[in-house]
Amino acid sequence: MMSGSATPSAADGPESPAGVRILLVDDHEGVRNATAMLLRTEGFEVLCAASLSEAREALRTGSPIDLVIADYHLQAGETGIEVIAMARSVAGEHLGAVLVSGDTSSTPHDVQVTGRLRLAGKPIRGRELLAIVTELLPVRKAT
Amino acid sequence: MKRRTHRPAEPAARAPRAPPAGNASATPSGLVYGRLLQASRLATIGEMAAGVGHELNQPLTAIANYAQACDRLLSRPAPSMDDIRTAVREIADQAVRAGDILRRVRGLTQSRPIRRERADLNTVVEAIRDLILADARVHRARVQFDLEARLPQVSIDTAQIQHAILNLVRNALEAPAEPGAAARELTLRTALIPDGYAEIAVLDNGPGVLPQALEQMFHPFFSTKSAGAGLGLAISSTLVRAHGGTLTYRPNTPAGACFAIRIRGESG
Repeated sequence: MMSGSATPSAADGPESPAGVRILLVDDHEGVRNATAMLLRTEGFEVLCAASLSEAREALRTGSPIDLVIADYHLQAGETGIEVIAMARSVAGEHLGAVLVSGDTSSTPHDVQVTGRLRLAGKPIRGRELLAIVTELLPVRKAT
Repeated sequence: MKRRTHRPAEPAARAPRAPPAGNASATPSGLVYGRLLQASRLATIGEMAAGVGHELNQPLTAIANYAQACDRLLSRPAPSMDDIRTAVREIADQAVRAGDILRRVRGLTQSRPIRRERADLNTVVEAIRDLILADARVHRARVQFDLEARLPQVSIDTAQIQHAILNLVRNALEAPAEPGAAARELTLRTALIPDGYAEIAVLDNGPGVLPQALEQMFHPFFSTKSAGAGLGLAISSTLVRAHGGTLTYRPNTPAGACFAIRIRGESG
């Protein structure tokens, strides 16, 4: 698990939290705030959004992101899959993504879990989420 | 709740599910009737389990993440007590929220004698708003609440009318969608009707009800849903009639269905 006191590595390896920006999209205010606090405690910079349109606006006005975490079931029929697709259209197809679902029974079976897209169930242990985030962060090459 | 008589995939599929001779919904004995209602309530909540589970997972997730954040903060040499205090308060709030969800579900499922009280339909709907939104969420449907501010008080057993409303909501959510159809949209609308009636209507943009099905759709055991018992609309209608009200169908405009519960308001 990534530590809040981690420092950037000069060697190949996961990005350190410092300077890493995560887009967090969840329409439940409590979950959004709690997850943001957890990530910020670890040193990540977190952009929060409650919907697809808010996420789009955050990406339009903010700095580039390194990762997106999205709840599957959003309001008004929107899904985290749409959020991830939108985020990747802006940040690039290699953007790491975590799709979080509180209801595994209705999570579409056609979601392709890849090295760059992970599924996580709610509630997820903080350390598990942080481990997934760490694995998905882009590798910074030594210069 | 079992699906209303929407356009069947195969007309013949509806034939074996036609109601038995006579009107089985008219006057079942009290004991059987009570057990039937209880079974129907449990079935409705069971069908909403995915949505309820999702709704319950939200505060649990928030609690877990706040607690984890607290743990990390406390491991620091000089933790921010303001941050920790914020997280602890949020944990308490989210725990109460989880309890509220369970209380609402329990209120709908527990077996108890009929108890009528004065209420207004807006309050009745508001109390199950979260459950409706949770169910709609897993169906990827949009829900609007259009509540008339001035409604007459009605004398009702709140749990029974909520049961009927949830049946109608599930009916609308599960109505089959044509290929390429727009996302399902529901509206729960309350209104003051002439002659002192209060109305709660559930409108959707689904395929509506076929004309030839109109006559039988409130009969028990009439359903086009292969796995359905066909009791939802029949039970809802019986519940509403026991309150001296009516459950009626009318086409929605420009398309879809509208099921409306009307109950006479109390004067004074």
